[in-house]
Amino acid sequence: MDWALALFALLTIVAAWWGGKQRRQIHQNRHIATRYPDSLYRLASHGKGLWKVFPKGKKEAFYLATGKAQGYAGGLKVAVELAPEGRIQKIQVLSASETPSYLSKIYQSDYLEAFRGKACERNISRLAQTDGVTGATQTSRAIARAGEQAARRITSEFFPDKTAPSPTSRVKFGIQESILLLLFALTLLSWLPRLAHKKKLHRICLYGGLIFLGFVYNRPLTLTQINGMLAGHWPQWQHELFTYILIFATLIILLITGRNPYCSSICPFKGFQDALGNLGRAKTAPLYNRRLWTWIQRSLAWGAVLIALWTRNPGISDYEVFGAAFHLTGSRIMFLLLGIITIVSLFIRKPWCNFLCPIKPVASFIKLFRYKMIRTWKNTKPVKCSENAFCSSSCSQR
Amino acid sequence: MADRSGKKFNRRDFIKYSGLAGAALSLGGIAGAGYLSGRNKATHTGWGRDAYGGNQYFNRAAFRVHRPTYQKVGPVRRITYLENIFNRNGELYRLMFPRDGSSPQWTLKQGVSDLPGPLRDYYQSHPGSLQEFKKAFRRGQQQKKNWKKYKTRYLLASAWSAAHESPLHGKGAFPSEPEGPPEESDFKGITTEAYSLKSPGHGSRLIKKIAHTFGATLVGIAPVREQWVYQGYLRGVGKTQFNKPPHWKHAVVVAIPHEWDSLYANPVYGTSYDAYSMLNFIAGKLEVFLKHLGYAARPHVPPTDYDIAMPPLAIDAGLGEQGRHGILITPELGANTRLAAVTTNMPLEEDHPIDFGVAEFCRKCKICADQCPSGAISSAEKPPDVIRGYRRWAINQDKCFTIWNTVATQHPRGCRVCLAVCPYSRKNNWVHRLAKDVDAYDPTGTFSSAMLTMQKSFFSYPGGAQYLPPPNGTNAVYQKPPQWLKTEEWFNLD
Amino acid sequence: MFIIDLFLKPVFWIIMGMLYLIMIYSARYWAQDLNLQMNWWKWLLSAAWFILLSLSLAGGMTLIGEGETQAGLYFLGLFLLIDIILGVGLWRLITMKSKKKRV
Ligand code: SF4
Ligand code: SF4
Repeated sequence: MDWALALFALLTIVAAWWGGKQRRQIHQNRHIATRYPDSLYRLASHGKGLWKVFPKGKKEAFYLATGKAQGYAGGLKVAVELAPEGRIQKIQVLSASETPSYLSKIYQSDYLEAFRGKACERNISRLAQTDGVTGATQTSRAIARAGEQAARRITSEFFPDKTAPSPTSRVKFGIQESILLLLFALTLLSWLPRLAHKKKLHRICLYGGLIFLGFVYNRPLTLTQINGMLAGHWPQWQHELFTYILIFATLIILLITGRNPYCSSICPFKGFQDALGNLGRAKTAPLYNRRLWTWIQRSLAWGAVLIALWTRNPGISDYEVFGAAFHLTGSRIMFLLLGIITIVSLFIRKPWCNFLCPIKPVASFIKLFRYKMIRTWKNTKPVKCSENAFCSSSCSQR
Repeated sequence: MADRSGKKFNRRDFIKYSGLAGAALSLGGIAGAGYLSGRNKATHTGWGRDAYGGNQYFNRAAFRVHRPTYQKVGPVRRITYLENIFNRNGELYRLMFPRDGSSPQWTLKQGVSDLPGPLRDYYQSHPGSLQEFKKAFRRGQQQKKNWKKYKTRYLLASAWSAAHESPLHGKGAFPSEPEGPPEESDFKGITTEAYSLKSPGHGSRLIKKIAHTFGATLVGIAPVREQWVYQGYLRGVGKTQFNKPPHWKHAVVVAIPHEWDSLYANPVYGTSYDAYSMLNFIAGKLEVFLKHLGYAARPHVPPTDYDIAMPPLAIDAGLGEQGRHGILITPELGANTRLAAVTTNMPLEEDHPIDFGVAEFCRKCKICADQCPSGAISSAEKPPDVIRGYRRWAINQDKCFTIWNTVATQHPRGCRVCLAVCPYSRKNNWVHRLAKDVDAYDPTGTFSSAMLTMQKSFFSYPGGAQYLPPPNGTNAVYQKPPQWLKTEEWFNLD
Repeated sequence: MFIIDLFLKPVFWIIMGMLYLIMIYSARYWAQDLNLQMNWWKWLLSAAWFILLSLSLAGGMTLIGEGETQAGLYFLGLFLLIDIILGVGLWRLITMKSKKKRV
């Protein structure tokens, strides 16, 4: 039964992915066409995503180009207008599959104004290095990067002498990444059988995650990020090494060991609930229809993936409270939900993890396929189970 | 007897549960008391009931500094005539629409080089400024056309503003324009020889009491430093180069706030004239009062009848400090502070400047810079400009004025969004009072950081262009307008 | 208006005072019946907690009263949440010690 449902889920996800892709193609240049209607402008195309625009009436012609970059939840498309003398006269976000509250932070600030009058893309890339709008750092950086790309399109075509050399994308490996790797290593260590201080190590990981991934860096793993990648918004790995490590280390460890390192001891929100639960001596929820809850939780996650893939906009189906908890951004409903979860956490162990979090169902989904695979593999070619530490802690054959 | 033990048990339970109920009721009561204290109009500092200076509650003595908080970094010079945007605009208007009805000497189609001497020099050394004037002028014409659309909605606000404006101009204006040089006009109307005061301290205390009875919310006394006196134009004389008249010994600086409900509903519902007209009355009456005691006096009043720049004078008088938006921030009124002064030769004891941490707070806050619809306010970490020898915050006057011409009012009546959104501009209820006081006494700045985080995430601000009429904005206001400024609440509209 | 100022306001606070008295009086009985071993610092902390709770309520309502409804609600949400967490912590503190003593 599980297996059948899982296959069904997989099929629907693939279908949504494909459907979303079709939908997408139809709408390619819609944004430019609506913002620069024929009645007011004449657009002369100069290649992909690049135009010279002649406003009707006596105004001067200007250059227009689009650029793309990855924000927090997905892709951002930005249009840049360059005045004839090569200064930016306007930058606007054409489309964004971004969590709405981050975007509205941008719009509320004067961030887009900061671009006006900037001479060339070198200035913009400088903007891309700054933190931009507090509470929406990733989004503002993405806008700057997309703007840079667009401006580069124009300058390389029309002002080749002014074009700045392409920035060498240097890989950013810093404290954040090191801490993350350390957390993963400690988690693996804490899984070793017969290790002294297992519990303590686990605690260290959990609260380390809470402090660093949560309060300090605000970078928990989210379904929204995964959805973004599934929808084809792969962030530039040089800039987002952290995200890649987070997702792929989790995935790889999950595939090898069959245990989910993230949910077991890295997730900052689990640490949050755990701390509260300890404070209130929380109990495990006394539930009779646990299976029903599990399926509700799974359906939620499944729905979120479908919507994200179909609309190609992971931000829409973002129902994770992490942003509200660690970033102080989110809709009112998110804050309300966060409040409820906080209170419930005092009395019931990990309500978010157990009843709502979409990461857990995704992990168990993957686990199910892994299990199936191992079974088929074993049936065709039986192997001897090695007394590997990882295996022994998770192997279902023992 | 058996009953009795039962009774005792009941009594105990009765007390227990009434205690519980009492706790719940007291929480309800405190919530209600909180709600009412929020609604209480007595918290509208300067408009409430604390007469005789009761609203000047801040303990300035604890924040006294020897040097005022403006930063001198270079040679100082006085503000010249054309550096004031209203004078600049006046000159341009006179060229465009000569009073004698002759043909214009300059039109919008012409450029900087077509302007006569001093104007040309000014605009040549301030590139972009003339461009902005032209933009403002065009927006002003658009504003007049737009007004038809918004007239009904903002009728009450406009009428309220016009009523406040009415005593400011023309023949019946009070105080009347000075006539003749200060050496004459400041002494005109003195009815007696100067009475000798027991001490300058007595003089200060008396004048402050009197100013409060005239309606001043805050009063401070400053020396008149020549560097704050305008150069190039003197009221009663006209365009002239002059030195500070020796009898301008002290300035009595008075401050009052705008009406609070309308302030928060800026730009479209608020006005500057409520505070302006009251300041005119206060300063005008102080002039008469001083002259009746035998001392010279000259009022300096808004909108433009000043011979001295007010904010630095008020800083010298210990009323407050300058904020990022260039406006004086006082502990009691925040940026909702409007200023006038009376210069006099009465012997007075001067107040000390204060430092209650505005510079550091503004460095972190930047709310006004985010909210300003014209982008006139810098969001830099430190004041980027040195102005006449001082490193200080200064707005881009030209851009700000363009926005006055853009918002959905009948004519350029101002914007004041920066006053309204400034976290210091809060009423005097216990929540804000506590926050402001603790912040002032906290040297580490952690409290203000926490407050700011809450301010930014709890309070919603419409943001920049939203304050403009469509298509750029939505005629947003910072807070809902009060019922008494909403036309639709009182009139049959169809 | 003067009726409110002169009469109702004092009456309100007199009633509040009575409510507080009843509360304090009954607190002792509650502590006894719930088997709490109270001592001075526990009472102090409990009182502080109750004052904090009262101030949170009053603060949020003041903001709502002056027209800052959204800010008031957020304020209430945040501080009541903090109060609840602190309350649970306080409860643990109070009950934990009593157990130790009993052993
Ligand atoms: S009055 Fe308005 S336009 Fe001028 S500085 Fe203040 S907020 Fe900006
Ligand atoms: S809004 Fe903030 S930055 Fe602006 S003047 Fe007020 S305190 Fe300073």
